[in-house]
Amino acid sequence: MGEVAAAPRKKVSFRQYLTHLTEPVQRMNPITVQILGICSALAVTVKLKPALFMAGAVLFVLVFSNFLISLLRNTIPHRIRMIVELVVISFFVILVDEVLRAFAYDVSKQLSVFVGLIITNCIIMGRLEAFAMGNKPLPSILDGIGNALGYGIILIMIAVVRELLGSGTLLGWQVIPASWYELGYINNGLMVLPPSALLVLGTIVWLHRAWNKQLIDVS
Amino acid sequence: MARWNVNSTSYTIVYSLILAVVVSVVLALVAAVLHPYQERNQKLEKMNYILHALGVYLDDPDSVEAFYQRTIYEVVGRPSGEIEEGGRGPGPAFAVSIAQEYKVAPEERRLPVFIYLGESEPVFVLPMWGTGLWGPIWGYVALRADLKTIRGVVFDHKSETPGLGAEIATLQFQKQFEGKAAYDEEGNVLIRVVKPTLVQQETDIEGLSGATMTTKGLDEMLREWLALYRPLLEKLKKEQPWQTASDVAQHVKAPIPPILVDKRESI
Repeated sequence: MGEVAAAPRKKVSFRQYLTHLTEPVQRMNPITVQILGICSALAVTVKLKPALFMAGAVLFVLVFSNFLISLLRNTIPHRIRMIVELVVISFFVILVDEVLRAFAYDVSKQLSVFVGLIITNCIIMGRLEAFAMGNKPLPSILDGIGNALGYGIILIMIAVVRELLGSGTLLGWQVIPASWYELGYINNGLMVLPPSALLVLGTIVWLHRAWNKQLIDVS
Repeated sequence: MARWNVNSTSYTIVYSLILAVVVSVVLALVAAVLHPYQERNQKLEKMNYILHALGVYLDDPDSVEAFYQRTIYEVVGRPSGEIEEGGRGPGPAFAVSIAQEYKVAPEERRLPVFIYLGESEPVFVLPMWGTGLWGPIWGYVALRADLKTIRGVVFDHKSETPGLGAEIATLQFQKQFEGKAAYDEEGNVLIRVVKPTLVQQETDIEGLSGATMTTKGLDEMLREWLALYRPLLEKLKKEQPWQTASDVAQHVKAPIPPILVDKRESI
């Protein structure tokens, strides 16, 4: 507990702050590198719109829980810290769910149980345990934004591929022209089923590692 | 913070109590504030199902409510044909939860009927509820005054497979029902939803290949509820209870021009 306070006061440069934001987007990406939060990446990526709302919901929940846990970090009894983290996460998730049901009813119907399941999204609990419990509020906020962006970007990439190939649309707008269908083009039925998300995700993981050789696990 | 021993038992108990109370009070307040909005969404969703079955599409929530109130007369009846209640919408039938009625023995169900009076002939919208593969499916069937021809349908589902069973909620699938005969001359249910290879009669609807269980569930739902509604529909056609309801009678005399634009998203 005390190690943070005991450390000598050191001026942290802006650049160092910024790494909290940029690291999780690329080198420490929660989905493609840490392989966390896969369940929702498979479940809500059939269409782009729910994926966008999901990314937004996770951003909100992660930033605010990281911030709140970081503020409370020195007051939380060690033995119940995970329960406290869970209460804080649930609080923000229920808040998001209630607001969606009041103001974005159709999206909340599409996301259905997956909003509630943000509570069990390993990324959020992981960031609270690994980062917010031992860092000051500002870096925690940045870490939250960075990780949520890292999550959201992958979610959106998968959703774009799946909606485009599976339904021929993006955000509900017809992208593939009707003339193609007349020429015999058909939507890929596999893309609307959950296994396709795994294939797309696997491809993204492969491309990511091919591009950044540091990520290749040599063991 | 150092004044208290953060890891003592009494601190832990007090801390968790305070946290629990604060969180629950805030969430209860939020839920109370947002409840009216959420309730309105559910109401609008139901109204839109009914209007979409009729082919009426309105974007703005206020005009949906206004149009519904102006044109819909509601009746609650019984499978025996007995009419229990009637009134302007949203009224007695709107309050009936078809999901709850589905749990009751068929002959004891309360049957809500939504009667559209915006045109010279009334149109009967019949809600129904059934079981798909993964969860409940439901629908609204709009039946013309000849008690035979289907004007339009809307189906929806809770958790059918996207791309397969979930296709029942798409326009392409629902369009097939338009103009089909739901009943024969004697009032027996005629319409069937069958495998694409088993289509025999003109009134058969081509089911979804790859979604056998959803197709079967839809077929069972349609046939069960259409049979239940029949005596009530005949009584309604004979007695025309909306004619005597003073506040709606004028609309029958001066029909509202219908807004018939199909804007359903074809997924």
